Amino acid sequence: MKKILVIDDDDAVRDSFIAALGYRDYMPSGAGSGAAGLESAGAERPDLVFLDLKMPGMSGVETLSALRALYPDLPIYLVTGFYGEFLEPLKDLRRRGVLFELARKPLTVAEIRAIAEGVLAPRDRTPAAMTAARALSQASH
Amino acid sequence: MTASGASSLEPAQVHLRLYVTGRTPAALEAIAAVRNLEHELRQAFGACAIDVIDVLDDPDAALRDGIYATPTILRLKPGPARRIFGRIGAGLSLRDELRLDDAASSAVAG
Repeated sequence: MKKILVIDDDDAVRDSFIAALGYRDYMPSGAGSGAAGLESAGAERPDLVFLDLKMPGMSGVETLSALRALYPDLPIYLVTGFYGEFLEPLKDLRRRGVLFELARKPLTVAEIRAIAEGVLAPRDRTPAAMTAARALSQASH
Repeated sequence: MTASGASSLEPAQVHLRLYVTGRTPAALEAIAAVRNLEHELRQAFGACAIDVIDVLDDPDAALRDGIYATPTILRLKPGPARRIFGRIGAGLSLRDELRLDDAASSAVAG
């Protein structure tokens, strides 16, 4: 089972991610705050994290930094609008060598699944699996 | 394809654009894959253009190109546009995934 953690203070967004990811061998779970997400990740290492950038209390940036300190190699997607003002704090993280990927909000179900498939697919992919992954990637375009 | 095996595409008719965020392992893997592909494409098609864009530096470009996550590689030419997201270069040939030869043949056939 692949554990996917969704950290977002918006209940509807969090639920939509979990619904989208409830297939294959994925075990999605949610946390409504950065602090709750950190606690969940600390208890059991996830295989992939979707992390909202703008949250009250412990921000997405703070949560990301804390997750990185726990798990340097954990795939983490920061979900945000691709607008300059939202990305400025992330440039500082980049300068400090904190690694993360970006996903643009809002994401469709197909896009959420394509991200999960792309990250969690086994490294040695068979042609059949690649064909399926490619079809999924194209379906979102 | 000509008798020599080289494509009859005009120079710089291959244009790829790779979107990354910083230098994550996936970004480095994708950058290495496109740089290897660039050499292969120059052999086959002559000049080609490859852009590597960090979304943090040019988010407007990412929005215009419809990028939803990193890393993503976009085939701009030959058209139509084709996007590949994910473990770029980690599986099948990137050239095959981008279907460059199919698109090139279509372009030549006109």
